[in-house]
Amino acid sequence: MVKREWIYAWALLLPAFVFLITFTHLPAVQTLINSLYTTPKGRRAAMFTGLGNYQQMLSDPVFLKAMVNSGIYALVTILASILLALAMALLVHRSFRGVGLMRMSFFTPTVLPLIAVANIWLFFYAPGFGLIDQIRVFFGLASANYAGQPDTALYAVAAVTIWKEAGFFMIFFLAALQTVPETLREAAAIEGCSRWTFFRRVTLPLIMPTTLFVSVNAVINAFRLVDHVFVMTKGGPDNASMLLLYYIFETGFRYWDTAYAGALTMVLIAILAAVGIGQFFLADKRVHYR
Amino acid sequence: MQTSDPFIQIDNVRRAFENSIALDGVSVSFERGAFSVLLGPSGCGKSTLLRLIAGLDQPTAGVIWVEGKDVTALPPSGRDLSMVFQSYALFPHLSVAQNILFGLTVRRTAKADMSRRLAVVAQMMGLSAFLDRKPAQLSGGQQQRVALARAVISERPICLMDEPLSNLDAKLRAEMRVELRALQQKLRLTVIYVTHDQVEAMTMADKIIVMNAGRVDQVGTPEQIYTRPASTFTAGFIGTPPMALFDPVDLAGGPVPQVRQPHVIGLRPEDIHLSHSGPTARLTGVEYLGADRLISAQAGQTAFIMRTPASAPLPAPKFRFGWLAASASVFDATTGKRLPQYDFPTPSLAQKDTTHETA
Ligand SMILES: Nc1ncnc2c1ncn2[C@@H]1O[C@H](COP(=O)(O)OP(=O)(O)OP(=O)(O)O)[C@@H](O)[C@H]1O
Ligand SMILES: [Mg+2]
Repeated sequence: MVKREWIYAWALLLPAFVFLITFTHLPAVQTLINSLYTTPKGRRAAMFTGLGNYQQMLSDPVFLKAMVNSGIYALVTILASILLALAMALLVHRSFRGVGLMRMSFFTPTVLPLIAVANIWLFFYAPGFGLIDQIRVFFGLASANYAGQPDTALYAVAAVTIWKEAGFFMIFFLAALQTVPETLREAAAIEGCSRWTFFRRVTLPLIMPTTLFVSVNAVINAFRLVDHVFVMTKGGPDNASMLLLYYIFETGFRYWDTAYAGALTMVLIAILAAVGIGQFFLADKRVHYR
Repeated sequence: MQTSDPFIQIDNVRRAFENSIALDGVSVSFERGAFSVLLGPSGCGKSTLLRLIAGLDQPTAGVIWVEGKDVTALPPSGRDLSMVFQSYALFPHLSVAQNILFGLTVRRTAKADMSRRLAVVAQMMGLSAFLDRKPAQLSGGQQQRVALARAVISERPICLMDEPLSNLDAKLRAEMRVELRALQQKLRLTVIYVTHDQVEAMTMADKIIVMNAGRVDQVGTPEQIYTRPASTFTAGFIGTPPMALFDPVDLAGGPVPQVRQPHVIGLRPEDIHLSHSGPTARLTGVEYLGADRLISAQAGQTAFIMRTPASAPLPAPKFRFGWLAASASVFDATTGKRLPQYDFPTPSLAQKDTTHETA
């Protein structure tokens, strides 16, 4: 009897397992193995180098630049998109005329493909006739090329990510805010609790699980969302907007240095795993789960 | 001791929502130190009235006075009152102690003062052992006490309660009724208590305000409301089972009052008894309640219920019934209003103060 149930269970799980293993786990293991060998070139077969590829990274200026950039990019996009999402959610949480329209407009960037978003922002950034430049010129400032200048390119790219993500995260915050019972607000109001105190002492702790969920997503996206880099800067100028994932793509599919790309991928996976696990353990203590 | 100056006065208050009128010209007053109960069926506007008094909602028209001061436009925090919600409204992420002290904390009360008051209130409410727990780790009755403690610790003179016992089981509810009433008397709180449970109203109230469809139907002591319902609505709402309303024709042969206008006659189940003479009724059902039996019967067009001691013999399938003339209530057939000119003077009621009973 028990045996039969097990057969059923495995039979039901099998299709999912087959796909997961073929397309996720096997490639991951293969990548790990590849990263320990040299890239086969012409007649020269792949050779085992152990951590050779990883040592190479330490002296690779582009890799180091990409790491620093990814760090800044992650920090900026995570913080800004979460704060912006929360602010927008608080704004449209109440009901007033046109709140539906407002919610929709906040959410719209989310449904657009990132490539299309990037093109819109290219227009915003375009020197001379772009939206931002027109405003700058109107106020008598010099023309600027945000996506093309080394000192602003990374932030120009980050702004697009924030713009795209905040609306998505807003939905989660909005849902969380709506689960905070209205009577809590009323009970606090009778006690003479200001709106800010209520937000700090009640709302914020109660939406903490959502904040955790959103921030995990934001971290993952910070390393995952690079589509717009292809359209806007291609990592340039002078690697100013080079991000780790984009560098992996360039190494693997432009220079076909698959072994080195594999090693870079391992680094990316390690970072994501560490951040993800760390976040859950760290935040677990401070999160109130009902 | 109670004084009878109106402490809180509701003056012709109206509250209209987009598609309904929750309160339609309500005027009522609440005395200092009294336990007043707003009683009425679901949707009659009790909660709406309470929220207006609390300042959680604004009236469409009318004025609310507290101690002779117009508070209609004041925010809830400016009205010096506390409130116990039906859902308790405890903060799930705060401990019992933090929940109780929430108001004092936001008002920046001194630490020493807070811990002294917390100790007193926790002791009084039997919560001392649970101060570190989260609300989710408490039973319904304990949560209820926390909500009450939060109101009590504020030491505000007015306490509003919206069906605070409705989430408890019957036994606990009965216990809490006694506790609540004792607490109110001990602290001399002015309590305005919303319920649709007439047992709660009867047992706790100094004064009951019966509401129906956004209006006040009757104001009086539990005794007045029970024995002299002001309308067929109150007559049919109060009492389990409620007062039976007879077409006078169906009572022909009994001690019916001589009324010249179209009217109905109300009789309480316990005021009807088997008799040798009087109108006849057909037995339709019997319900055994232990001490009593409820006899359902039909007299002409009127179905009614009569209460007899369980020890009394069952009536025959067709029986005659009677009542004391003094126990009959007479209502206008069209307006449903009581016709007080046909009331018999009852010494126990006539001289009673109209507003409070216990002290
Ligand atoms: N926010 C609101 N918007 C629209 N209508 C409302 C609102 N609040 C209450 N009402 C209406 O006002 C009427 C009175 O509601 P209220 O909550 O005061 O009833 P209640 O006497 O407390 O009933 P219950 O015993 O069920 O709690 C109802 O018809 C209700 O539908
Ligand atoms: Mg209600």
